[in-house]
Amino acid sequence: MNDVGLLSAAWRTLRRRPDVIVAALIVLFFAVMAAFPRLFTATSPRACAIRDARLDPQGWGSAHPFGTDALGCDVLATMVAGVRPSLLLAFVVVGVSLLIGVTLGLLAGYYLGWADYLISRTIEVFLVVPLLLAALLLLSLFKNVELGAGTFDVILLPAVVLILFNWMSYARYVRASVLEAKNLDYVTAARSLGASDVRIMFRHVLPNAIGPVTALIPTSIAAVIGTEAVLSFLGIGVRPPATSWGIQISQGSEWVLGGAPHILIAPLVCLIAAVLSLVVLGDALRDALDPRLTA
Amino acid sequence: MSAVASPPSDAGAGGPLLEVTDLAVEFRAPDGVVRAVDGLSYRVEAGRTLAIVGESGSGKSVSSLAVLGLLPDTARVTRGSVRLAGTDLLTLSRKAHRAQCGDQVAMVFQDALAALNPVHTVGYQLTEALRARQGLSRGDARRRAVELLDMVKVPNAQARVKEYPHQFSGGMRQRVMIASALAMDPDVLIADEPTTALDVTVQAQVLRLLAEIQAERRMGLVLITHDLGVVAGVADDVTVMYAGRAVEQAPVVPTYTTPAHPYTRALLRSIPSASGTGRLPVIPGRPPSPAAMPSGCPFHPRCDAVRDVCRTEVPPLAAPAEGRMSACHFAADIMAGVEPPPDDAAKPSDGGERRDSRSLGSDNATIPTFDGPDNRGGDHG
Amino acid sequence: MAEVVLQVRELVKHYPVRSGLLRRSAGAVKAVDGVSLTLERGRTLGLVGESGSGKSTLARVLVGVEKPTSGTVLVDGEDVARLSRAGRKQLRRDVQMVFQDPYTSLNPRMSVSEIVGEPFAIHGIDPPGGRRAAVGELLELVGLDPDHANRYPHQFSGGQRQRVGIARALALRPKILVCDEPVSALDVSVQGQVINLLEDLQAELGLSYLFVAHDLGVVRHIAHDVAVMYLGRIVEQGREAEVYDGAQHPYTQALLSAVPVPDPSVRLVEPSPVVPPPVVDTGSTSGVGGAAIVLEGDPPSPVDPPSGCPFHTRCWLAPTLPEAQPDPIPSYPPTDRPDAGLRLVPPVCETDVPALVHRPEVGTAGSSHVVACHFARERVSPRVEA
Repeated sequence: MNDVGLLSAAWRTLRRRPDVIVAALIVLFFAVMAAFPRLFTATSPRACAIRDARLDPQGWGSAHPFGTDALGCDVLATMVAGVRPSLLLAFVVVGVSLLIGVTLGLLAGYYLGWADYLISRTIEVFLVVPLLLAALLLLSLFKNVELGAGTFDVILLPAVVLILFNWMSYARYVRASVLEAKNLDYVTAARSLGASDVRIMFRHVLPNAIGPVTALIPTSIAAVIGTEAVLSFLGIGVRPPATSWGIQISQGSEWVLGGAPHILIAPLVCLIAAVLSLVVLGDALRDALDPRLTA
Repeated sequence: MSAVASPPSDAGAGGPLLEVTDLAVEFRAPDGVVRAVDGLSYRVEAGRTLAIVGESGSGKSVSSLAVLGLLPDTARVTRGSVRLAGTDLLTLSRKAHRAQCGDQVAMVFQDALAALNPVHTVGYQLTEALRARQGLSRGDARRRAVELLDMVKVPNAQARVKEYPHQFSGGMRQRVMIASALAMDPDVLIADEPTTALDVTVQAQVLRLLAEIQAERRMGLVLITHDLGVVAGVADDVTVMYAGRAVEQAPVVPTYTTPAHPYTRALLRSIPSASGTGRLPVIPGRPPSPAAMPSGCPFHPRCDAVRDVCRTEVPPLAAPAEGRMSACHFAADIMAGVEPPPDDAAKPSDGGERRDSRSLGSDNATIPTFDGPDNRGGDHG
Repeated sequence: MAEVVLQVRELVKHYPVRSGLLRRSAGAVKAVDGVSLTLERGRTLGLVGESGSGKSTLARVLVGVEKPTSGTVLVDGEDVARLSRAGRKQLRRDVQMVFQDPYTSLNPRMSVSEIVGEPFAIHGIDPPGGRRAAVGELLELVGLDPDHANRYPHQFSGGQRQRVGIARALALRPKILVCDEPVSALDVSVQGQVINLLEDLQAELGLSYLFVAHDLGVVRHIAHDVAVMYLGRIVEQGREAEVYDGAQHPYTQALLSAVPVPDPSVRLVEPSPVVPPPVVDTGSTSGVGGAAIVLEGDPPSPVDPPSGCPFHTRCWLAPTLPEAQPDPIPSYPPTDRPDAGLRLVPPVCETDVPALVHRPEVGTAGSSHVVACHFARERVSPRVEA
């Protein structure tokens, strides 16, 4: 009964803030673009003609509103085509690694002893192993596995690699917060009332320990997209012919000084807009749901 | 009466060491300004101890931060003067203020663990100030540091000067703080709740130490506390603060025997050890938040002798008798132990609150926020 | 009326200290080192002590947050250790705790009604009339407005938060409330309100309190019986008047002497402008108006307790006794004893732990007054008065 009160109060606060509205609209925009790419462009991103390479942006209404890239593909088309894999990858990776990291961090911090020992050593191992090395290893493992071209198939490999190397920071943050929160009087009170461990963990410790982690999420998303571009060099990024912003950015950065900066700008602007909107939304949501900051 | 004669009063010669006059401090809040101190005056004389007593929101700590120039950026002194050896410190720039204060006024804080830097040895922290201010060489500063630790009776000072704050117990840390405050040989020492966090037996040691040092050096000591027992046992003069103002100022003995303000009177009555084992006569409600001051006398919603005039007019700090000051319209009556004359139409006190009963009207109010007035039972204005 | 609701026998709680790569046990923090006490229904037992005395640890063991190393705890005659898991959960309903810090004892993300209603949720109880009504009743019981139940802790003052904590503790209708310094963190003018509330509740609901505090004045007011703890043991226990007016243990006497009372004629310090008064470590046992007993050094740490009587390293009485002999090997860390080098104490104080027994030859108190000192003697304390 009180969660509803908090949520509706949060809604009321949020809908009044102009920055939140703008951010939400941007995110919505990208979501629609990801779901219905055809609404935005009729050109196929694969209709690439080398003779049309590196054309400058021609403005709306023309064949290539944002120009073409080094291979002659329409920039607008590739940008639109890249939304879904990029965002999907980002959310899947961050979501799953959050789940893994928070759970492990919670268990390590709450139970200490052997659980903490094992989990902490695991974190350290993963921190030490270089990302690219592991990526190469995975690549060789999956070399002969046939994956389809479905929405999830194209991002499977980079998702696996990125998840494996993204969960550690969440685990560490949560573990540290849990160690702090678990000694507070209200946790002792719950224990003295006879609350089960599960109840204490999810009702008392976790809500108060999750704060620092939520601040990490938007930057994580940006990092995922950027790292995916690196992976694509090794052939373990988004599986072609699907494309991603990461790939476009790395391709476009080669031509920035070569007279065709528009190749970089379009996907970069998308990335910045998406991440900033998520930052604003994330912060606003976190503050709105914190009872101490509401009236 | 006092079992001890008060120290020979040569305090008149040379005047007070520190004189605060009509000090007012404001804090910038998102919605406006909050007045934390509103017209405080006191004097500190050599060899005498002044106790400043108050609860949360009374402004006692803020006022001493203002004296030392340690207020945060969001705070401003809006009026008043702080005279130290003739100079008004408030007219100086912040830097000059602290420099001027530095060797004449020192402060000891409540939480020694927070006030001492955990990554430096105690010796380093003591010598740092000595070398910076007095330009002592490292060897001399080290010797002085050991002397200081000896002075505050830290056993084995020679060895302990190399240790870190966490290796000291609470009482010892407090002594280290006192040592570092004394390093500059100040004329005035301001101690803000120096023993609140300490055990009773350790508190007795530290208070005794402070008194000894004060006597030896003829220092003026300002003791900020909420513990009326400590005040009675240690102080010569007392200033009682409520809601940013001084509501009573007098020597300790008459204040305790014939309080001249209802707040002081109620406080004295509400102390558990003083009132036997019957029901405690408590003060209903709670101290007002600086953001929501009542109209008229700030104590009137909780006062057991409230009359009509109290609700509308702020009582000035006046002298009902020689050497006594009280901010109450009926100070003389209270001091004499009689109730003030009743109003014509004998009204019950605010909002139907029943004193001393379990459901206290004004105590039900939750803390007002800046967004707007909360729904309250009492009339906090 | 002498129905015993809580009985503790030889309770011990040691925290092992582990060091080394294999984390071998290297000694123990002897937080509670053999405590026995009895709490009767409807009465309050005050537990007084300083830091390191073990009173907070004792409180936590009794509430079930910590498991005792050895000893028995009987609640209403039932041995806690023998209970099954379900039985222990049931036991939680009988013994509840009120915490010291109003700012950390309530979960800031839960509304007051959720906090006070949580005990019902944990034990799966559906009170008649529904949980909401039950929460409202509890809030009224502690003097809060039930309409404020949907608010969050940060909207309440310190005193009100303590009331919420008390309401939460009362939800399951416990028999015993363990109050761990419930008023120390509150303003002086608010402390009295909470104390009165606790007394009213005790009269109304027949509760028994174990009141842990360091403020002797508060304990004197609310407690019927008092136990004084030092370094994990009880050194003196008896009816409140017996202990306060006729203390027999030198530690209790020092404690009472050090408490500042709001009476300006009793000075804690005597600032003589010429000669500072000598620090009393040889013990001035003069009576009324004598210098306050000031103990040297800090309360010792329970990691390395002294042998024999735990208080002998700071005892002001021991060196004055004719039985005192030179102690050839100063074996305690410098902070634990005065800097003067050798310290004279009777050998029995160093070797034998004194038993907590009634001393009929000392004082005139009834048999409920027990003291753990080889040389107990009464000293009339002029300080903490009724």
